[in-house]
Amino acid sequence: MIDPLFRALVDREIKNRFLGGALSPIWWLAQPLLTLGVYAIVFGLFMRAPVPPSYGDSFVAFLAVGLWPWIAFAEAVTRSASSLIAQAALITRTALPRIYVPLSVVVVSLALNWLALTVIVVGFKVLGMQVYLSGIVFSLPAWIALLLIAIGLAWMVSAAQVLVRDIDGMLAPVFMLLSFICGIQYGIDSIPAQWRDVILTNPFTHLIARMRDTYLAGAGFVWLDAAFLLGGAIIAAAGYGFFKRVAPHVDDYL
Amino acid sequence: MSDVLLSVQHVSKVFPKIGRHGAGFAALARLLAARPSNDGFQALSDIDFTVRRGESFALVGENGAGKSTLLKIIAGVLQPSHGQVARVGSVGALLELGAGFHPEYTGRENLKLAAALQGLTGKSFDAKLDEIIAFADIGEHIDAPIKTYSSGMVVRLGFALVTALKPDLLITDEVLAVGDESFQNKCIAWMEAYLADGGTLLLVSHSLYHVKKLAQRAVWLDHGRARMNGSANDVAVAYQAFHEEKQAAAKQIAVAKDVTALGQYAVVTLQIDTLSVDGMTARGVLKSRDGRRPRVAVGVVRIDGTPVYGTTCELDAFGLRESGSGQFEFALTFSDWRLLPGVYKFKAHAMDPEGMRLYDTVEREFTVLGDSRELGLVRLPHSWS
Repeated sequence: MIDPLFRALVDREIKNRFLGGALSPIWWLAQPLLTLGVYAIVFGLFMRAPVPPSYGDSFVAFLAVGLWPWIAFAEAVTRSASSLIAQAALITRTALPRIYVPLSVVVVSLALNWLALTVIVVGFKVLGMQVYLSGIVFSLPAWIALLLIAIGLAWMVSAAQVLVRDIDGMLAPVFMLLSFICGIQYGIDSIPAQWRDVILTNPFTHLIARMRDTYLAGAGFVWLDAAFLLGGAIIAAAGYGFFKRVAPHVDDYL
Repeated sequence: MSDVLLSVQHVSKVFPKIGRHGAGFAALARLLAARPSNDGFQALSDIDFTVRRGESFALVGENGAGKSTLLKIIAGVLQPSHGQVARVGSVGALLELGAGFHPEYTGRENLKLAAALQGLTGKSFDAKLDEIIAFADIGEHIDAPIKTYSSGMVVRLGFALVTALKPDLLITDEVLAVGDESFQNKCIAWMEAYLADGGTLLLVSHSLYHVKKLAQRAVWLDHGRARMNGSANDVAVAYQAFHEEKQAAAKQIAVAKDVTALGQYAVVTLQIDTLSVDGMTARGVLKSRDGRRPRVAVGVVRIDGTPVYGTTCELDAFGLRESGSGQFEFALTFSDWRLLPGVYKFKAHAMDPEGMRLYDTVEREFTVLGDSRELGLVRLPHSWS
């Protein structure tokens, strides 16, 4: 049973995205596609980043499957950062459970991007590229782990943002850096060996690799999925604790 | 019938000081360490009262006394810094004009979230939607964005929602002041029916009339402290008296200002010397530029401008006494005037010696105290048989 208040907030978040501009009804698909196009040109055509053999031969598919979850994650956390401030009118005047505000932003961001990637993967299949539709199911633990991490971080940054207004500005460069050190735009094999170990300590590197294993190499569930879920749950719980401490007092600063 | 619906126990609220650039990492760290900050603006200190089922309770006080902060704490919007609030049963809150309404969404869309916030969801919301829209009586505007509404329409919508909820405890914060008269009457009628049905009301109002009419008990908040807690009538009378004193001080300042009044004939001073339920004594000085003896017209109006009585010195064949060069004075006594409790204005106008043209108007506000619940402006002598 989902709290009707949460459902109402999700409804609003979806409406906000689709009612804004003339292009918003297609933006959820178009924006990641454009980003994909830019990266495909820079890394695929200009820099000729090789696709690791197990992932087939299409750089676009390789890029899409790695990039999309990352865009979903980064967008979810970045958008949620200002969510409490954006809903100040509501949370300082009504007894709306605050925990739902960043949560609804994250859920909508991830759901829309997941849907977009699913559409794209089916499209790749229709075009005869090497993708596995089974990946739509087998990637779910990785997606859920990503969702949990995003929720935990969203709770932290949204509450912290109210007190420290510089946080959302820091997020963009942090996510940009992170995206370059988890092998989204190029295979890990193309990184010099001495740096590869560093990249491999980044858990997101493995999460992105899991996405590719499932969608592009037809992999099934593995024990690593459980580790991702556990890690995600820990981060979500930490975010929850953070939010519970800070959020009851945010009206003093809104 | 006597179970406690709301108990406010030693509630205090401190708003931390915040600078232009937010609170910073130090404040964040303090919250994470769960160490409350004790320096800041003390909005409420040690407020303590209970509201039982079927009771109606009012909060009175000046702007900034902490009334709205207290209501927000009671409604669960704000957390108290110290103390606690215990609530039983459903609570409907009308806190601020358009609270919980988003300007970009239509009235209908806003109702959905606002109703969910007050616990009305799903099928029971759908069932009541028509009733709500009918009470709000805003016609086709229900499907227009709230940003296109007048403030009166927003209040209508908010109040209509509450009427559908019929909460155990209804909290309202001065929202009725915005609607037009007929809607206000509709709301008051609804509230009286709600109270008659055993509803419980907690209201903030600047209208002592509403306080006396709707509430049985009241708390007077003064700078965040409960200055008085007792029967609504006692509190209303004490609060009114406090205001009168304050106004008297303000009047002295106003008198000094009026001396510079310009024009051929002008009222330079006007003051109320004594005031009681039975009458008033007042005096004033008029100025005449050409030295001719001006006339004065005086009147009493209700604070909303409804005339109660007016006369001129000419009608009463009284001539102003010359008290200095170009200065003419008068004293006036009203006795046994039977004015009902309320706020009134005493007005004096300077007129030319012919009594034809009105030159100047000076007003003094005054309050007739009392706990009578008779309606109207004056008490007409009457007897029943």
